[in-house]
Amino acid sequence: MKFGSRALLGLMAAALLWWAPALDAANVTELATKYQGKDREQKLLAEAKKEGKLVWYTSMAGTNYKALAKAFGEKYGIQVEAFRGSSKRLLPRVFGEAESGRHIFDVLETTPPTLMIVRDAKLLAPYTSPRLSTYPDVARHSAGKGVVYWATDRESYMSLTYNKKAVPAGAVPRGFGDLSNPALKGKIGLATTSSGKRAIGALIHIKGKEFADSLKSQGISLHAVSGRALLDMVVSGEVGVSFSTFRNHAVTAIAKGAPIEWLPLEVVVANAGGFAISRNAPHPHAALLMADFVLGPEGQKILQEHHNGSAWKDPGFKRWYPEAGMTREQYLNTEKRWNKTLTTIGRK
Amino acid sequence: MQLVATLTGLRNRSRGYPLWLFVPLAAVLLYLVVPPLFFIGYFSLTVERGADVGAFTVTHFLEIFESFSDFALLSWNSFIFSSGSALWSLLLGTLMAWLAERTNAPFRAVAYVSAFVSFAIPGIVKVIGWILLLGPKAGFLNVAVSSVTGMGPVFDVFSMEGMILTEGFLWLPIVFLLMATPFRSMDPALEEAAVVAGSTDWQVFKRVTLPMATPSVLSVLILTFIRTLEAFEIPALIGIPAGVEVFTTEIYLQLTDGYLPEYGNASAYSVLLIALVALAMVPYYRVTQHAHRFTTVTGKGFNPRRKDLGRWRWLGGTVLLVLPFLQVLPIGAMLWSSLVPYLQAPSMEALGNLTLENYVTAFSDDTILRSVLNSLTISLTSATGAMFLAFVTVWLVARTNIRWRWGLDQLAMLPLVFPGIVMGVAILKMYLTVPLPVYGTIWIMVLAFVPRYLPYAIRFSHAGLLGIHRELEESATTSGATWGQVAWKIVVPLMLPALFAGWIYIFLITIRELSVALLLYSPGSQVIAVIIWELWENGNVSTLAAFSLGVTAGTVVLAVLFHRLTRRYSLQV
Repeated sequence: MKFGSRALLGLMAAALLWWAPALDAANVTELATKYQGKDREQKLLAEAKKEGKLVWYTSMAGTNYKALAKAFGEKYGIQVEAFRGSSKRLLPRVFGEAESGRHIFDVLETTPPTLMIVRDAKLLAPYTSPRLSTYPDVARHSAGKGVVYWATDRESYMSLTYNKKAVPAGAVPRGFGDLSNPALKGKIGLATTSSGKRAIGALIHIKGKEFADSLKSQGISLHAVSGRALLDMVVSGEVGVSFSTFRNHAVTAIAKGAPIEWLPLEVVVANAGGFAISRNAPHPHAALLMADFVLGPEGQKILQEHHNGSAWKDPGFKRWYPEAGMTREQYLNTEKRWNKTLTTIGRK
Repeated sequence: MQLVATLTGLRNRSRGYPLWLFVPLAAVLLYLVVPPLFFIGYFSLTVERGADVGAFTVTHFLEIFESFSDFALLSWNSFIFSSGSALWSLLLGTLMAWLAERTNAPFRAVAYVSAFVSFAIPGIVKVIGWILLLGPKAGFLNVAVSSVTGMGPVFDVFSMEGMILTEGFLWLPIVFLLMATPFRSMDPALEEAAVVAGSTDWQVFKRVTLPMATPSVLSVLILTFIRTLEAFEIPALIGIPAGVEVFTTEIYLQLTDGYLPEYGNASAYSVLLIALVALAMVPYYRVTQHAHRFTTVTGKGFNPRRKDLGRWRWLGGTVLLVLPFLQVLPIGAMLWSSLVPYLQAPSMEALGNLTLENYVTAFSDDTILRSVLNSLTISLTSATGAMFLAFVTVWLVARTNIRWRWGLDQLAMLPLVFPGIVMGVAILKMYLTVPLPVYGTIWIMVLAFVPRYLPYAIRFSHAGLLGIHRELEESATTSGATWGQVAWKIVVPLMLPALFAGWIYIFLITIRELSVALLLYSPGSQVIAVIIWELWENGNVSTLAAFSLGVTAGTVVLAVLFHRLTRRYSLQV
């Protein structure tokens, strides 16, 4: 009997001890401002090594996030456990875990609408990085006092991809107005994720809601997949043309010989991916080290190799940031309206 | 001290049988089975967030019934999907079983081998294979047909028909195997008597064969219906894009589709689904309980007569070949997709560009390799845990006279009413609430899989123990062996083939399981099925195909082993 209750107590104590680090996580903001000198990297690395790993939630699709995780792991010997989900899938996970006090992720890299929601729920830790000194204001989402909620580490450009075999050369759209071309009837497809909604936003921004509604007669098909998966459907010919596809994904597929072309229908939706750190990050040093890495020259080089853009480089076409100047509420309401248009003009 | 006294007392009453084994076993079973059920019920009836958190409420149910047309549509979809798939796989599967067992149609062996192999191919792999084949515009079969006939797509898999067709494809091999058993073991004397009495072939079939097969047909029909009600892969991969939602996908979407996970609503839907499954199980047990009235297995040795199909023999053979064909097609589509640099329909032009690059990409990816290791660890532990618990349970129930022993059996069978996705919700919410640090690790999946597959483990153990007569154990006891020696040196070795068959069965199911894993995984604890799902969502079909084929090759080898064992131990679970 005695042994039994002692064993039970021991087990409970062990469970609590296991649990303790999560409750006692170091304050990211303090750490970020504390280490500012030349030895920042060494100091962060020494502590990060003790933390052992880094958990990264991201909505980056394709190969870029894997390349970043791998390069970081190779440079510092710290394993990056990446969880990739659409921005829509990331939120319930982040909130579900926060509600129950299960702090899993350190770093969140996704688009501003999602980041705004997480920020307003007070789940982000403002931080800073020496790398940010060269970043323009537009790429720094300031939290005041020299720290940021997130910094734009990459831009992904979303516009039109068409399959050369499925769309005759004469029918290839050069502007949103060309989408009503009868030759495209039954060939246009859109994603139902936030990508599809933002694509509709750009369409309405340029041509107005009436024109957007008139596209119902074009029989647009809707697909509950990511922009990356939708691109595959364009590659295979399942979808002839889509304006919710990303440049970096298209370029990779074209390099493999896919019969597609990516065109910037102006305005081009710019997804400004932001790098943020969790307020409850279980591995705060590793998270800051990762911030320095991704926002620094090495990380940026990898992202550019994967055809991501930068906030301060002219991509050669007119960009549009759908959430620019909006509060979270305003954006969510606007996105809801876009979604309504999307589902009315889409089949199924 | 008092507990010890009670234990000793109980031990005396149970004639020296190991009561101290009974108590911890009961505790473990209680822990594994009851809290998940409790949490589902609790969260379906309490306020989830805000000031009144934890207060009793029926809003979750009200919300479901409020929009009654949506609920009716959901129920209708679930019903049509389940009954449609069950019916059509039963019709074709029974025909095949009859051809294989009671006629002289050729290719019987091929049909059997492919049915067993199909068991090893992960469901998600086959489903994606069928999507690649039957996608409305670029599906390989649709492209092939339209290039020959010039017509548009012949079949759009993204529809209710597509869901029923593909779900039926998944069930066909299992229905075939389940129906082959009664056909094989039917006493031909009854049929022969009817023939002697002057009946025509049709009369024999209608009056003798059919009534004898009815209980099996009904039980297989209900079983398939229930399992389809619980199915997740096809509703998720085909149903969601097609806009056809069923209970399982609704539960999934409640947790993943909003900004906040709606555990309350998901639990309420889960309660309704559990009720539906439990309801469907009533007729199932009625049918199987009275099976003795339709005894088909007796001590008599016989060989059922095979009907000579004459000129139709080859047609029958062709029908049997459908079974291997249905396995080869989706795997073939996967093979092709794994060899092309980007997704495209087969063509002479693409043939020149074949590459093994996708295999290199798949098997050099750390996350992917880690998922294999995770899956192996989870499945090994779950299968071992479930079989161990089941063995001890069955042994205690069959060989002791401890008063509450039947309770153990019922407790262990209770998870039968848990569809995978419901078990996922229950375990997720349970370990988000209970301060046991398994959330975010692979062990949370073991804690879901062990109770979920315990009933299957019980069936296998039970079948194994039935074949061992008590007298072996009794004579060992008389010769002075302790119960431990009896168990370890006599019972376990004799039951080993059955235990091992059950072990492999659970191993194979858990290694491909998607619905539980999809709710419970975290970064670093991805398993094989989740990786395939992620690759599909991210549009990485070529890597997905290469990885899937590698995994399939591994599971097929295991299934061959399983096949050799199940030839002796029925697969009826």
